[in-house]
Amino acid sequence: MSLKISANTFFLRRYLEIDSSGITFCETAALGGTRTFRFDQVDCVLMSNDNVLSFQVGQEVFSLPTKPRKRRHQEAIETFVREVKRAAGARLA
Amino acid sequence: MEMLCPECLGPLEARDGRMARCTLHGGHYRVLFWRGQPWTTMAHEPGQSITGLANRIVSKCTHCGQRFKILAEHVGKKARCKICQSEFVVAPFPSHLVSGGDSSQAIVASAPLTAQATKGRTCVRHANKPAEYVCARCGSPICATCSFPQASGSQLCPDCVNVVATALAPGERASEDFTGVVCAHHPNVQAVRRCAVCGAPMCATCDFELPGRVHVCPTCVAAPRQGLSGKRKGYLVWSYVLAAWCTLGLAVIFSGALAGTVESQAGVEVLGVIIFLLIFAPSIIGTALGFAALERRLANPASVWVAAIWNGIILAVLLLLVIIGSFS
Repeated sequence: MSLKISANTFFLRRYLEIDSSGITFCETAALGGTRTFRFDQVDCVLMSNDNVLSFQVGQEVFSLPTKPRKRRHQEAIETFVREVKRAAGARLA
Repeated sequence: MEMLCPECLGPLEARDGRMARCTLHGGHYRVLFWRGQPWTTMAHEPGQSITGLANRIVSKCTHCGQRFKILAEHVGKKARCKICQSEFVVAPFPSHLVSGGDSSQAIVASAPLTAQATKGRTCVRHANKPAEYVCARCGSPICATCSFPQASGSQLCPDCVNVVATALAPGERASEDFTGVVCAHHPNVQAVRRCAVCGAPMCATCDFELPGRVHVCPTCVAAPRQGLSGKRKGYLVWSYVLAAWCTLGLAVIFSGALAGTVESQAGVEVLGVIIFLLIFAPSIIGTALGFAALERRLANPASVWVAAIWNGIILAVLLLLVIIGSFS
């Protein structure tokens, strides 16, 4: 089972998928452009004032607009942050 | 490990661990997680023990209302308020009434009374039964029969269950858990319910109760959304389609185009059935859809009223024709 935040436009395919193994981020106008990360690879997760979710992996930053009023987006974000925190806690242990 | 700005990749300056500011363009961001901050590595999920942080509950003095953080193991015991010096029974304060703070201050499930605390304590409703729980809302000792387990793990007495159940807005599920869900306007405050108009989570401060026990957020109160939900839009579109169709049918009837098309009585009856199926029945459905698109408690745009009235007029005209035809 996976949670997904989709923010597609007419010309751009953009989504963030969260599953048990990690996250998959896609931002592309055509095929390809999918990046997969484990939870313990995520260094930072930010939310801007206009509800753009960003996460940092190393020196790369990935952003995705979200809708706070959409329950699925909220659940996906909560799961994402919870799993990242859990992975960070396990890594320090 | 340095945080980078999502817009300009400039360095971010972390303020209190929860907010960060870009040093280049000054943009503010809410920090949901940062590996470089020690507190982010602490598991703040309720129930996990972190140096006693999650083992503490918030309890309220029943006399002066002062709130205290008390170790969960003292639930059911008597305590003396530091403010008014009155004695009160330690009971978990409902989590949705705790304003501010993070989820680690949420209420731990009301633990069963220890053997020492239950000595001599009986249920408030059944004097001959020993108390096994403490109501999370009023602090009354209750037996297993009187206890109503909640989704959060706490127990409520029969009186408080009724109060909580009636306090919910129509259509709101009692079992919805807002743990970890923050208010859309106050990112540091836990949400307690969702706006009935837009569905955004809101805290107790942002909760505006309108007549009819409709709970809406400040945005919807100040500027009610004029748009329709998907379902109402569908109703509206179909009611307009059916109204147009029935209007066309009425125009055909009144224009006399059907006059002389049938001569036999059987033909007239068949024509009547066709008119009923193609015009009368759709007008009934269109009228029903038009009125279904109306919202009783919130504002309705003019297009909804137009659809309902248009269909109503068509139906009235058809009924009039039927009545006239039956008397002629």
